[in-house]
Amino acid sequence: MLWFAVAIPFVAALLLPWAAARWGGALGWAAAAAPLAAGLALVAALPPYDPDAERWLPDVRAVVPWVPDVGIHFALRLDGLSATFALLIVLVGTLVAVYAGAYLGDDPRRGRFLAYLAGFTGAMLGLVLSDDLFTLFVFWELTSVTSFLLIGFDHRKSEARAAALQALLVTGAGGLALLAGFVLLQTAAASAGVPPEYAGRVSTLIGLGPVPAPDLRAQALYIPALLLVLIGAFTKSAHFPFHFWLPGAMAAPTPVSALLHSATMVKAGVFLLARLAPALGGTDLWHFVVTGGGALTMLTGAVLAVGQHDLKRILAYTTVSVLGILTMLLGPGTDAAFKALTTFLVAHALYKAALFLVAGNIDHATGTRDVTRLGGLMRLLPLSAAAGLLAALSQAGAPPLFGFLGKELLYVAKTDLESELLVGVAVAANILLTAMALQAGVRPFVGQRHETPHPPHEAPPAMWLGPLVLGVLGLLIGLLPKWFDATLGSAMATAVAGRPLVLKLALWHGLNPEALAILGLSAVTLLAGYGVYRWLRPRVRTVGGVARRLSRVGPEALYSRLLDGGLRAAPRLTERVFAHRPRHDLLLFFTALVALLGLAFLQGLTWGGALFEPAPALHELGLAGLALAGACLTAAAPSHLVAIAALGLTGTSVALLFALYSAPDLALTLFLTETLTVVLFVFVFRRLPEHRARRSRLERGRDALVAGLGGATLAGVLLAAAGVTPQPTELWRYFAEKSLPEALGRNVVNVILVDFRALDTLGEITVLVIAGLGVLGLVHVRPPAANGAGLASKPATAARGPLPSIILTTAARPILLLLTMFSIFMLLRGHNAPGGGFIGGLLVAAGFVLYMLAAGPAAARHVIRTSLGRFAGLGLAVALGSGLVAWLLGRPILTGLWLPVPLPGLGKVGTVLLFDVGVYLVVLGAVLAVLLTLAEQWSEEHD
Amino acid sequence: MIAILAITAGGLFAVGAYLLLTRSAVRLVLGLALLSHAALLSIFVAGGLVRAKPPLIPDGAIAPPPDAADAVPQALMLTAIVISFAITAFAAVLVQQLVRDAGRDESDPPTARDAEDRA
Repeated sequence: MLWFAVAIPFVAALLLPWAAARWGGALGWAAAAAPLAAGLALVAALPPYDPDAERWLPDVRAVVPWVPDVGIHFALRLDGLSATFALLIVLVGTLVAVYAGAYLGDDPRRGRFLAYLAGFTGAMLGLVLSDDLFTLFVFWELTSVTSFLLIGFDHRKSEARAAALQALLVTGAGGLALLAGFVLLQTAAASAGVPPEYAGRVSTLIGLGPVPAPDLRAQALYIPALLLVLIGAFTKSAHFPFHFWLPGAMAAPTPVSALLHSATMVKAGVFLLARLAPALGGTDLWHFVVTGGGALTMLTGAVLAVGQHDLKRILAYTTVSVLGILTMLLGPGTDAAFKALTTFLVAHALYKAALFLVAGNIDHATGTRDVTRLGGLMRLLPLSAAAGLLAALSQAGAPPLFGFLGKELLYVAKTDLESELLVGVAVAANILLTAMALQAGVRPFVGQRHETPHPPHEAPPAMWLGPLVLGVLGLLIGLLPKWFDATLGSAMATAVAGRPLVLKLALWHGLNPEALAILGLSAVTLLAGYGVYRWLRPRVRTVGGVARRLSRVGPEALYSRLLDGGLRAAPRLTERVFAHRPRHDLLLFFTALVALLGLAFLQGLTWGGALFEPAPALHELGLAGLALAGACLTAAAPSHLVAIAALGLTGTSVALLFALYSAPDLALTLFLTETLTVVLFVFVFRRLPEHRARRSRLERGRDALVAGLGGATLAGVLLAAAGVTPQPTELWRYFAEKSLPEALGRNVVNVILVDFRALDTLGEITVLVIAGLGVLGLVHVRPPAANGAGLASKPATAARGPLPSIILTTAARPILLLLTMFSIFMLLRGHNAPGGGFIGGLLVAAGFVLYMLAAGPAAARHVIRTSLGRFAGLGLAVALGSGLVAWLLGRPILTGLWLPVPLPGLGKVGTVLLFDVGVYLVVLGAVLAVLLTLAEQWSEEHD
Repeated sequence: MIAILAITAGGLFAVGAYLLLTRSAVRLVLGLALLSHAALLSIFVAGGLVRAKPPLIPDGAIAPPPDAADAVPQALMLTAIVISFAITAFAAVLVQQLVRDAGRDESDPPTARDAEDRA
């Protein structure tokens, strides 16, 4: 059921863009169905409430293994904290979806917008329901991503793009810190004796798992883990010094501000700290950083809010302030603080979302959000005004609204601590919050009317419904607090505290000194708040100038400097390291290679044993010498043609060495590819201009030194490695034993290729096809002008063979026939003797190349008759199909299957032979297509 | 013989690397081909050297002789040979097109002086 609830919004996100084209006006209502359904699913999943434990019992959990080896699971759990958050998310999510449908009107992108919103709702639900640190992290990042998409929804505005990037960078950096913190937490839990299976499970860390909770606070990793988690939480919840991204995020459309940036996402940091408080809280460090960070944020937000005149920015800064209050309440760990947190958090979500939506309505109706240009809208927007007044009074903490209950508990929690400083700070911030509530929620509706860009009018029902529901809810809970404290309130306070807590809310606490003192504080706050509001009314812009100058030296300026500096430094660094000269990059690479491996030798790497086993024979020494001589000649050759021939010498010598040292398959393959390489290079390079620019003597010396050291390093590594691996290896013994009994093949190399490691081979022939396509693409897909002006003017006559020799032309046809037959023979015998698909395919390709050299590419194409691409494609299909046979029969893919009886002339036949046929076709098709195309290009250009 | 082939591989690597460092794009491709030979020889040497005992199962036996050459590096190298052929072909054609477009065989980007020379 929990998975179902999380999945519904994601499914809706996939369907909404599609539905947008069909449903038009009703889209918002349709989009609202998803969070509503998710909410119903969650309510249906709730077990009976146990009033003694103040929890729902038994716990609702859902676990699916994800990476079980390292103890990572997709795990969800429903408790008081997650249920309260989840229901807030679906309540605000539903109302905002309805609102957004009307807010966007018939904007063509509304399907996408609602899909992002639905995706966010799913991610946020997943976040609060997670019971695994890494599940939580994934959803956490997903909310950052959807927030980025939504803030930058008006992507044509550079302001929106910058704000989206800023939010993403700040919360993304925090996310990285969070991930590191989670890894440390899991490690700490494991080293405290928790089995790996449960070390990342939140419920285990807070003492509700099947194994006893670890004492994380006693672990050495506690301090770094806590600090990293706090960075994650503080960035997400816009805490000082990261608070600046939240006002920037107001570039998002208003429904986004209401859902993400007031009611839900920005509370994720607070949620995380509340979630982990039973495991991490209670230490001096926690108390100091959490309480202090919260208090600082509360003051920063409240003070900066005063200078704002844009409705949404006022609301954004007061949100920052409230988030600080919530965090501050997590610090001390007293009963009163947890109760205040629970009440204040829910009250704020309700009134702040309503205020944002009302701000949206005002903007919609008048065309401005500037409070100095708004007033007297009460009669024109009566329903929005009612919603706005209810929400503003709740924020101001006026009785009998929900916000009043929250503020009372806040003051109780602070006086409880007997710290005059904290009480003073809390009262000061609340006075400013009250003033700001009046500024944002009351001022536009009272007083004198002003000229506005549009003549004002009431919003459509979908747009006043949401704020009104939220506002009335704030009033109802204020009047009937039982609706909240007996259902969700106590359960949430219990979950955060980690011990049973009973939340009892009341407007009137009777005539006792403490209650009267608190009431007095509330009254002072209200009156002083009203006073500040009156004082501020005519002076908003003056104060705003001061606030803006203040923020210019704040952390936002540091962010801009860091971003600009990074953007400037990155290309400079790239320029320095990669100079757009391949050889310089390679020089760097080779130098690093030599330095790193050379270091290993300096640290005492020594030669291996048996360096001269088996004793070298004279002809072997000669071949090694020829290989080296060919290489040197390649480097020193006066022309391309000589260099190509010398390269062929090296390749052939190496192939002969393979033949001498028990690798017949390798020798055959290398002979054939060397032959084809020489032909290919001649076609490609023969007519290219020789290189003219010379390096200086110094450069050549440097290059020779680095290259020589590189070669010496490689030789050294090989010498050091000699004899290190015991022969025969475990792997080789396995293949040697299983080759005949299980794969029915006597050529172990071929058996490995087509049976044991056939999946690798399938990948490799795919690479071959892709490389072939690449070559064809390079040759064919060129603008005509780029073909060289001098060459294009020549008449393109029918392709004539480049080597018109009568003997060769006459002999080529029978040789081709012979080679084709021989290649089929090699293919068929490959499983038991040297040969196979690779060698067979290369052989027949070599035959065709010979024929092409004699008779010209057109004649060769004529003999083949069909497209070579088809050969290669057919080959891939055959190879894959031979593997699918086993899969269709319920065995692992590419398992070799054999016909029970041998076929006449072929012997035992199985799918691996089919696979090798596929390899044969791919090699033939790809290699030949490349060479024929190059030959055609050559003869077109050189007539 | 291990020492001889190790030095040969090192020599091929050195020449290949030297060619990669030249300014000629065509030589760069040839250097690439030499490097792949060096890589093949390295794997071959590391896999152990056995004369005239290929990893084949003789008729009548059920496993190769106990002192036969190791088939695992050979199987790795066989596909490596074919792939390096394909990659070399692709690199060669790429360089060919670049050199023809630029009208010169040069891997460095054009400088202001080159532009004057061509004008």
